[in-house]
Amino acid sequence: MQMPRFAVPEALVTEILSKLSVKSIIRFNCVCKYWCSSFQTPRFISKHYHNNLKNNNLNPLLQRLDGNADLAFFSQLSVEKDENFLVKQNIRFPFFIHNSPHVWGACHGLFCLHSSCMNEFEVAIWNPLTREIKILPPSSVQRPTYPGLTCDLVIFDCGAFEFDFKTDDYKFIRFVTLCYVDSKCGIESPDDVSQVELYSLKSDSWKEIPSPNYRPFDSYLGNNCLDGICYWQITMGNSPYEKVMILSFDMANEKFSVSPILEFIGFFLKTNIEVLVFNESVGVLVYPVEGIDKSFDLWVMNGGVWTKQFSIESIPGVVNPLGFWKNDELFLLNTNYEVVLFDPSTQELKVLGINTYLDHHREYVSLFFYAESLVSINGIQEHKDHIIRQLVGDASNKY
Amino acid sequence: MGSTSTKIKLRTSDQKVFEVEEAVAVQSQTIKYFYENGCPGSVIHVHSVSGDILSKILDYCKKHVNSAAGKEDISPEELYEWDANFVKVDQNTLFDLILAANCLKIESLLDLTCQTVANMIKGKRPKEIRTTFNIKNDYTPEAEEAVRRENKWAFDMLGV
Repeated sequence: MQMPRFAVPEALVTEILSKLSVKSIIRFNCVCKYWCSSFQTPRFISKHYHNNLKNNNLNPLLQRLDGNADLAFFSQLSVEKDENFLVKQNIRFPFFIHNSPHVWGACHGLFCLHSSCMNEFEVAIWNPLTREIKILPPSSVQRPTYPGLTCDLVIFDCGAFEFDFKTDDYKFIRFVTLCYVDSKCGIESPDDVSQVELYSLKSDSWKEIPSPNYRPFDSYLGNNCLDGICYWQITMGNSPYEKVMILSFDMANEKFSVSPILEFIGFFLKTNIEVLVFNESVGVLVYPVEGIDKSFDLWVMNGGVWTKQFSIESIPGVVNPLGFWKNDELFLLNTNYEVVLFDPSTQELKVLGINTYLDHHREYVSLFFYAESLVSINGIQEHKDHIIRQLVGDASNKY
Repeated sequence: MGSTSTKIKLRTSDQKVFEVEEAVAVQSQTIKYFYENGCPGSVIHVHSVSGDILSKILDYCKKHVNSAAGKEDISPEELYEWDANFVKVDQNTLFDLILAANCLKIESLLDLTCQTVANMIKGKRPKEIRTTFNIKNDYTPEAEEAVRRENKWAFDMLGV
């Protein structure tokens, strides 16, 4: 085909280029030096990312488990019409111990990957589109020492990765639990010690944050940050009078605060509550712990007021939700451990034929949605020692 | 209803005059500005846009205004299809539409037309892109090879 020739003003060329995929843009680095340098400007990167957001160009990334090898891996799912979320590419992570990182936060098309083992310190920030990876240095935060006690176990959880608009910095926060044993007889100390630590990409270093009085729960939907603030669920009070509250951390002023969830959620032990971000608001998805026919209530908070966004009446055969897709559609894991998509407007439940190979490892299945971005993280190009990509060429959706 | 609504007069570069419903014309931020800040009833000159192109653009604006106002029963999918057909034009016309959308400040049309060009070029090789945009390659062969090597995967399978 004869290519067109456009004598377009430069600003309009930029307008056009900012609508390309990351892969095309990276290939066009070769066109000329000016293009190459303009693709790296914050202005272009931001324009490109916001175009993707505006057009709702979201990509699903599924984290699941290879049952045979007992290894976690990620699958990029197609969003092409009629392809029904076909697996496009599988991604493995030999860099991480046991090959099994978890996503501990996603922001601006970047993922924070964290090793799933205790006492291991591997953390990386990764842009799956530009294939840049930044391996974080080990934490420099001092662990407290006590005479006669040895720190036996370090557990990390409740990580969150978010952009701080005030300082133009990406930050990663995680909670640390330190378990001690008696140095002589090896008996476990009854008191664990809690710390909170924060990594800043700009300074490429860790620091300790004063620990709040509450320990949050991990958010299984992996979508708990909005506008520079991270949210977790906590409980206050003693059983059976526990109250569910929300703990938040502001990446800019680096302070925690606690806010209530109204008492709509029912009895804590019988109700699952997942904190999530829905349509640019913080919300909670509430559903029963027991039973496999589950109903869902979505509540969102706007200006400090909680309102019920909608309810989904009883979806049959559900293990747990995975996250909301476009038009309020909800991805779920069914009792056959398949990923299904529920459309509330038609009440249709579509099985996507992606087996997650799970039984006793239910916590390994997560689904993340991200927009392509050119954001650079001052890292290195990924290498097959870090990450192995396998294109899924044919229509085989098994793997 | 249609007959009583305010009309705005527009004159194009080739001296054609269009009488356009206010709601349709003010889709253009540029026209809106001149309409709100000019003399009432005066003709607004759209110097850089020809009659043919303006006529197409007004079709676009009318479709979108009617759809948004619920005057026309059209689903988002149908409007998407309509847009896709709207930009099935020869390349010179597409180019003129981009320039006009930019100059008249019609954001959604600028998005649509620029996305159309992006879709045309997305699978291309750098060499083809240079021809398209009339760009001189200022890399030395060695430097170009180095950039290419660094981003080898982006050439593996062209596509998007």
